[in-house]
Amino acid sequence: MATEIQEFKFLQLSDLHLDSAYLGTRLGLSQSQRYERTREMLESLFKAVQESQRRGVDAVVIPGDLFDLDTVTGPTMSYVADIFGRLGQIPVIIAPGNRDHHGPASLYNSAVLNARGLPLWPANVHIFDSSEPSLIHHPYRADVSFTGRAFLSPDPTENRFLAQPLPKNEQAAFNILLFHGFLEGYAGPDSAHPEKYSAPFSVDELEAQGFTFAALGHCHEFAEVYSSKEELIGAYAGSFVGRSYEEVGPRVALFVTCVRQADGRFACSLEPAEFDSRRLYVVGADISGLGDEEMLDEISLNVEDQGARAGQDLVYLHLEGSYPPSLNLLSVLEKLRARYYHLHMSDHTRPDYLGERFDERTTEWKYIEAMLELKKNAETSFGDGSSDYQMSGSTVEDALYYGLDALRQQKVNVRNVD
Amino acid sequence: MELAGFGNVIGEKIEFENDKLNLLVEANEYGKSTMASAVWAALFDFPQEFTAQAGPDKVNERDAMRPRGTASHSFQVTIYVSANDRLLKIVRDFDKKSVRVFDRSQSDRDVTDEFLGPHGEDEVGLRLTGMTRDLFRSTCFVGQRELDEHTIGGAKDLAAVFQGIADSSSTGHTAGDAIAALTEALNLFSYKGAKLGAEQAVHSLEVEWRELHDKLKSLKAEREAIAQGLTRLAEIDAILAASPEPQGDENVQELVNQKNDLDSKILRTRHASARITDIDSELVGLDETSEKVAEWEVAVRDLWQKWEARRAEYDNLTQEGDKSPNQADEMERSFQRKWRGLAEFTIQDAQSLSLLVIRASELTKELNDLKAKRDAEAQRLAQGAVDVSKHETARQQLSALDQRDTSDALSYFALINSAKEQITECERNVVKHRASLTEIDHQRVARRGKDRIFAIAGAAGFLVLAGAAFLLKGVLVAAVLLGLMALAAAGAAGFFGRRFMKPSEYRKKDYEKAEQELEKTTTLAQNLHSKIGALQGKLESVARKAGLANGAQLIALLHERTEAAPQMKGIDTLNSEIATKEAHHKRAMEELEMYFQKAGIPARELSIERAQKLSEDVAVCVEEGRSLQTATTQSRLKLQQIGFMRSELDSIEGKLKEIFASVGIANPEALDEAYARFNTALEAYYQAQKLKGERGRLEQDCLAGSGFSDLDSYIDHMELRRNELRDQIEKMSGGGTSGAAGGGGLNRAERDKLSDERNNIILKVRVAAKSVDDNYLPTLDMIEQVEKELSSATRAKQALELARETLAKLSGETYVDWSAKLNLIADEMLRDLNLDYDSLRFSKDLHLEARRRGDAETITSPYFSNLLSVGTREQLHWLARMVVSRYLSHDNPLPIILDEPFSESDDDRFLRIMEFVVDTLTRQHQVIIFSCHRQRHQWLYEQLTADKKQRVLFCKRGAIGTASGAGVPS
Repeated sequence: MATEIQEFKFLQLSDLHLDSAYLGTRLGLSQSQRYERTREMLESLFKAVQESQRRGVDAVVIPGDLFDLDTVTGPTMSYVADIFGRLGQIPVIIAPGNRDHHGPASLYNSAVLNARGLPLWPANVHIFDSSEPSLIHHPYRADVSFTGRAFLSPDPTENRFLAQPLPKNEQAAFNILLFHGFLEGYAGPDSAHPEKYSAPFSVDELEAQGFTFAALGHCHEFAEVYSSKEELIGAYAGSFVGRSYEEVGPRVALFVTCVRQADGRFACSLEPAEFDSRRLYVVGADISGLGDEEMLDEISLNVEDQGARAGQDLVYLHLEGSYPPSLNLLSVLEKLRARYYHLHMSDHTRPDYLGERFDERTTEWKYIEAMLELKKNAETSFGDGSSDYQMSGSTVEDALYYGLDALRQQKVNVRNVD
Repeated sequence: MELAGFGNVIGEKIEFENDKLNLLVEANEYGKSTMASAVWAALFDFPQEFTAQAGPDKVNERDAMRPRGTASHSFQVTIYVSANDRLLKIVRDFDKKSVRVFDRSQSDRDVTDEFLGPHGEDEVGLRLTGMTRDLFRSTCFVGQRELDEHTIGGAKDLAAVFQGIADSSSTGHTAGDAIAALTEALNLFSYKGAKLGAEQAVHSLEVEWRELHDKLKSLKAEREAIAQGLTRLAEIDAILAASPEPQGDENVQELVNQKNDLDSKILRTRHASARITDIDSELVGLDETSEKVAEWEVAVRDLWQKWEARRAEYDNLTQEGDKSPNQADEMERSFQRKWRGLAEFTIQDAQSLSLLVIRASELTKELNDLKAKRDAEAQRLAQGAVDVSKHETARQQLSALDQRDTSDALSYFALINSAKEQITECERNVVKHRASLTEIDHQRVARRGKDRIFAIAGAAGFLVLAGAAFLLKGVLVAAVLLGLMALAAAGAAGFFGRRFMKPSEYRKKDYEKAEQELEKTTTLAQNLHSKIGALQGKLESVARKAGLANGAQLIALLHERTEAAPQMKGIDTLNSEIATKEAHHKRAMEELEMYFQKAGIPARELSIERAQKLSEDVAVCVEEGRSLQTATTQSRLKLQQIGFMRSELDSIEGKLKEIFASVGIANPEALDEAYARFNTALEAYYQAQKLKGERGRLEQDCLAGSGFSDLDSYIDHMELRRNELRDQIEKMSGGGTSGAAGGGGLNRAERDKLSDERNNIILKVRVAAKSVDDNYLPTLDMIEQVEKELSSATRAKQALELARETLAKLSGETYVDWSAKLNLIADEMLRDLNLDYDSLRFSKDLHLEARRRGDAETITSPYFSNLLSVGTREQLHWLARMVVSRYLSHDNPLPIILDEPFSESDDDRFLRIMEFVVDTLTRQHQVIIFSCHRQRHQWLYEQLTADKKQRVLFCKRGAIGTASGAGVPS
């Protein structure tokens, strides 16, 4: 029976999805911004590695989705291999997820790297390559073992891997599980995606496995998992960097410390650490009844309330409400854009035309009536194949306001719509 | 209207009367525009305001009208209106944004609920006027300078004004303007930083999308190839791993590879050497061509192209066989001879003359008809014992006077009579005042006598009592009593004595007043006499104008005419019409005379028949002249062109010959041949350059890095080396290069084959992976971006087109609908107004069409500015505006409010339009005018006839709670 206090410290990060597709369009970035953002993601990984070295962690664990296999490029992989190699003797343990699955063409495969002329993974990188759970022993710590498995294809699976006992090193004091799957009860914004339900497990199942700590991947929000005894038994670090406006606020990696007490009991704690210099935020604002200065103030206030930092963060702004036709909304929005690193606008506002009283004999009134009727019909019939409607209700509504713009102001501001 | 507080108007009220021209004339800055705005604001409230518009330079209408100076005044206006036989009081508080309506006919019962919408919204203005605020403001409320000549009188086409009202209740923009804006948006669609048509943008995006998808498809194929390659590599590696390579093979293989490389290199170099030999032989003969040919190539091509084009044009022009300039001159002279006098007539002259002849002819006919009717009427009257000749004489005598003169004469006569009556009244008053003075004098004399007696009696009493007191001085009481009585008697004597001395103190004020009245009355009488004299003078003056001896005769004639007017009305009307037609006829004949003069026809020949002949001649002449001009102009133009072409051709030919000579082309004078030779030389030059390039490349490809300067030496060297290698291989492999390799079942050839395949696959995988790395992710991103842009552009295009089509369709329907309804109202209104035109129509696109009374043709609004005077255009505008107002207000004649109208009109125009307003508009509408031009309106008032004056009311502002004044200017 051990009598000394033992400690095992490691960095957990996951779900980087390096080189994932549609980053630019999801965030509304220009091509140059998209490249810059990709570079920043790699820089964040570099900073995490540096910090791990500084702290002298015993390992770096990655429970899946380091990259998106479909789209990841050779240069990115070369860069990742290079920075992992800088960890020297600190092992990097990777359990491939569904997006970076370990299939025949996987970039975890040395033969593939060879064939493509890419550098091989450095010696400190250890990758689970079987779909069946297996063990990887810590190269320098006999008291530490890692259990994990690899996805061999991108397809989600309903297999409950944790329902059966997983292999463990009974000799090791610390058995760390790396698992890429969906924790039932997880309620992050990404939980609603149907493909998220893959390799499901419950807290009870995890607790029953008796691992010292479970480094979890797949879900994109930071979440701790506690046992029935209120002990921390695992955690999702969440996505390492924000890639879409579902991943808002600080994104973190976890510095986990597991301690085995003299009496043989374990206690794990974690410290989230943020490495991405930018955050993503979603802000809604209703501009009804506001003037230009007030509108600027109102939106800025809402953005600040969310915690977004001017000049630094990416903000998704959902605008609603109506504004006076005389107000130049575009110039107001341009002023706003200048305040943030990037402002992605979802403009659902309309000029406040319909609040007025119209004479029923005028073309204007007949036009509004006709378009509202058309919109109603389009909303009920568009896309159901039962009619000839070629336009959505939103398009008809656009037409309504374009017509009123033209009648009232003799100019039309064509909206960029999502 | 009561303004508790509105702008700079605080605690004031003003009253307007129905069916009158209500004039509120105030100096600037007294709040006229504010009061004008208060009318619509009280009815409708201000439009919804936005704080956005507040700011140093943006103040919303409500804030602009907030009471100034102090906060204690409530921001409130009360307006009293009669509507649908009800008297209503509307109290609007702009601060509280509340309104209350009271029915004054029902003891101020609160009837606000009747004026609220289904959700409690304020609909006071809407229900009272039948219009929205904006429509009311654009039809009934006329702001400053809205009626300037540029806006209305000068408007080329009033249709735009009415289309604007029909299209939008809030702006003056028409659906046509809106459609133009939508079309512009469709034509100048933003696409990748440029502007182009929406259709084109969508098409470009679709093309881009298809290209990207094709690219993605090929990238996916490459990914698939990579995957297959990787699978095959794994298989090959497995096979090779299972088949260990025999010792020594590696060195032999290396030598074999080297030998194979050398074989192929030798073969390639020999091919190159053979080709270079061929090139050298081809170059013999080509090198002679000068480089100058190439230097001149561009210039020669340009010149030649130009020369050919000009030559073709020149040939075309010269082949058409034109008439000489002399022929054209002769044709013109012949034309001049044939149409002597008429050659100067233009097409416009011909058209005008034709119309003038028709008009003069019609006028003659109408004149004859009218005269016949007048004779018949005179005969009818004569049979009815009416002395037509007498009236006719009177009419002729009075014919020198216009309407204003007769009106003035009657006014002078009435004023003289009135003054005389006033003088009589003055005389009565003089007598009355003098009688008062005499009466006071008599009273004073009588009282003075009495005062004298009382004074003497008092003095006597004093003496008696004073003496008695002296005598009874022993008896103190009696002496004191008597002394007191003596003093009283002395006082009485003094009092009456004083009154006796100053009799004028009696009824002094009455006396003075009577004297003043007497003087005033006397002065008034004198003034009236002077006024009568002046009026008499004016009357005499008018009488003299009519050729009459005195004013009395004139008045008598006027009275006679007035008395006979009912009987003579028919004949007078006919006379008036005859006079008008005669004037028109005279003017037409004068105009015809001008054309006769132009044609050199003596004035004595002036007649309708002759004019008709002239008109026909002029028409034929103009037509012939036009044909002749076309023919001669074309002919001269063509000759000019031929000359120009020839000189240009000469210039080009000169330049070409010069160049050809400079590059050594033989016989440059024969241009076509020289050019062919130039081309041949050019082709030779380029062929030589091409061959030299090929030769250089071949040598470079074969010799680069070899250290040899010629191919033959290099081939020799390589053959030597190959032989060495062959010997070495034979030695090392025991005489064979494809013997069985040891172990694993693979012989050397198979291993080599697999190795080659492996190397090829790796090469392919890397090339494909590089391509995928570079393109796959950006292509996916771009596809999504383009899909988004395409969706956005398609949606915008569809929406813009839908808006445009719908607006076009609905505005057309609205115009047709309005046209029908407005025409009904216009017909009804014109029946009640006896104007110069008997028809005012709105076309199906709301263009105005008017027809003068008696005219057959209708004038449409595009021709208003050419055919109608500014005054007539303004009248038509007003009528049309009234029609629109009547339609929009559901047949309620709404008030028309004008804030400083006609401010830029000259006096004549101002008078004409105001007479129209007084005469016509006020018959059906309450008209309220706010103005700062007091003198101008006073002058206007003085120009009006008495009955028109009755229709004008000068309003005055007053404090709330007092009676506000109104009347005529003093």
